[in-house]
Amino acid sequence: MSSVALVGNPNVGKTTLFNALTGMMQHTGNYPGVTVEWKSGQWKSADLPDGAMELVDLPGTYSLAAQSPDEAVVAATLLGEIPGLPRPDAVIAVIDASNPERNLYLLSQLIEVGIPVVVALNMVDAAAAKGLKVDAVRLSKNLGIPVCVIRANRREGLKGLSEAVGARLRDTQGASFTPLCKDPRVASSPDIIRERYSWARRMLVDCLERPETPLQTFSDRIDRLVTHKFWGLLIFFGMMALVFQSIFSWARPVMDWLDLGVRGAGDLLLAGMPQGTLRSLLQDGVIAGAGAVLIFLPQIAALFFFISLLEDCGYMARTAFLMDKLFSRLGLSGRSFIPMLSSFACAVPGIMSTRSIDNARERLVTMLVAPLMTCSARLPVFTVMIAAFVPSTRVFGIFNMQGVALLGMYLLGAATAIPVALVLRKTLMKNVSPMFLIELPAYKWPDTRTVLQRVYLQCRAFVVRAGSVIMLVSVLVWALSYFPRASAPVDASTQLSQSALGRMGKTLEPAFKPLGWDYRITMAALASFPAREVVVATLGTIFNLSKDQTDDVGLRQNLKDAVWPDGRPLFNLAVALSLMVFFALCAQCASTLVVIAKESGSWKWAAFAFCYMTTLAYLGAWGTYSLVFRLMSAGA
Amino acid sequence: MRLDELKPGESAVIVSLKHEGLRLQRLLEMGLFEGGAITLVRRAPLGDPIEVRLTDYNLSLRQADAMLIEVKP
Repeated sequence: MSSVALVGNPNVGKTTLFNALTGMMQHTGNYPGVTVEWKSGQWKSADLPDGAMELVDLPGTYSLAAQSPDEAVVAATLLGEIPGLPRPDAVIAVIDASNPERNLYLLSQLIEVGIPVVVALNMVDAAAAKGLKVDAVRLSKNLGIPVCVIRANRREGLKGLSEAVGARLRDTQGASFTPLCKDPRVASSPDIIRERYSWARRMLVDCLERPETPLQTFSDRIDRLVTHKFWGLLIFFGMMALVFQSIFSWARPVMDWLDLGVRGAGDLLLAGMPQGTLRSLLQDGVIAGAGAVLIFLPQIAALFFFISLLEDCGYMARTAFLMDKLFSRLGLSGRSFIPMLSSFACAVPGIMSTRSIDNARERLVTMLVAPLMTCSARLPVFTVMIAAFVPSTRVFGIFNMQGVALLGMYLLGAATAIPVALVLRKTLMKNVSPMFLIELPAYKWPDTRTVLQRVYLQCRAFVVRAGSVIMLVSVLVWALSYFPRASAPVDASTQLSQSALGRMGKTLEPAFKPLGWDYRITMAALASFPAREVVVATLGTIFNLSKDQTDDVGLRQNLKDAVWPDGRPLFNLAVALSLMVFFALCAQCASTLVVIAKESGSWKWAAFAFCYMTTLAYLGAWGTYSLVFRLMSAGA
Repeated sequence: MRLDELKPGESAVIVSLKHEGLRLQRLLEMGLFEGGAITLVRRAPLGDPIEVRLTDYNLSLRQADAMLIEVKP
């Protein structure tokens, strides 16, 4: 089957056109070696040769003289340099009629590539709102290539487009354009860039109507409000509170329901199966693993629903504009804001959303710092420890000590992220200073299909890319806690203590003793590698929580009763704080590490994140324990 | 005068860009070149970056880059 590539500047409605032409028949993946999203689908039309073509949606780009991995992929695809991907037989250049000059700049490079080009002139309504009018017939004559007017959001003009592409493929006559450059990727010299722009103006001279002074559009009026010093920031924080709320709270019932569903399905499947290794493997390894994958979907769906909505309507660029200054000192940009904010709910969707950061290094730093944000999975650890060991006394008359402790834990992650980002900037981003140059596109009504499709594709990508590894980790940790079996039947706590995991805990006890931990706490921390919140359940198993007291109150009492071999209480304020600080900073979340590996394109970065966070967590917990222990001894 | 010295709403013509290499290339590609009209639309609420209007579209760039662009009213 022959293929056709969709190319255009960012924000020209390229993806909307792609969805309109291919429907749900889409495939996604990554280009080899880089984490640039690759999307293709089948475009069926009787006008096309053989009735169908493969349509490839290339990343939005301003130029073929690439400065980022996304842009490099566009040039490499068009020149047929990507292994396993045939060179496209035709190119559809999506041109924004409301900004024709800069769009024709890219077109000048596309024509030079030598592949037949058909222009799809989109956003004609946005152009009309600005008082701009492009005469497509004349433009086509000037360019020497077909120009089709389309309204991608309303699926208009698609028939004309397929006819033009079909005709273009049958007719091999090229455009009447003398190349300015042999290779359109060659870093364009200032003279060549000027030459291309003057070509664009010549092409438009008799077919573009533009008002003398720019009209005030509806979009300009919205912008006056949303970038206002007071109202703009208020709207921004309101909007972000909504996004955060959706991941933090609204996704929760769906997650609980999914959790119940998975467990219910598990019980149903395992009904009648005898107790034993296989049943334990299926229940605590496989089904728990599947649950661990699915549990992220509500949060991913919620975050990407808002991100796609904000991106499609044009507000996303404004969030970067509003927040840039806060991040520029850390060597990042305003584009890091949403990933960081999302990570306060969950780092998995947060890291996935770093794709909108165009600079590869900045993206990497954001990804590595994001897991330090206090996600919702840390909350169970904090609440159990605080309720059991932090006194509910008042400080300064108004604050409750327990509330202060929780707030402190929340701030700890973000506060740690600042020096970490600065260090990464000095090392990873040495000699790289990303240029902050963001187009502020006109606002438009978001396209429902584009938004929903993006949500679906993100969820699917997570399950496909991260699912199997998360599952594997779940089974592995199950095996470590299940084997070897005790010779005689014993209770769950004793079995766990003599399992491989328990033995690891005992071996590592001396290393964690400075933190105030015994082998049981160490073991619980090790067992929580798949997900932080598991530590609470593991503590429950270890400290022999009986069936009738599965609530937090029972667990709290058992923790208070636990003792060292010499009879000293195991837990006290210092140990509780040390455990909390450890869990605030550690990387005990296999899913986050898997997503870092997939999104950065290398397991090296996942390993790096794990090592630096575990080191920080250990040092932080050690410092906290020594300090609080000394204060307590001094007080007593 | 420099681009960042314009007041919101003021228009000017670009005289020169003091950027180098890839940065200069990208600015030119985005349509900021000598002789082009440019209007400072606004500053971000926190003071940086700035928003400018070029032919047919609006672009945001940082103060640090705006300082290197010479304009005349």
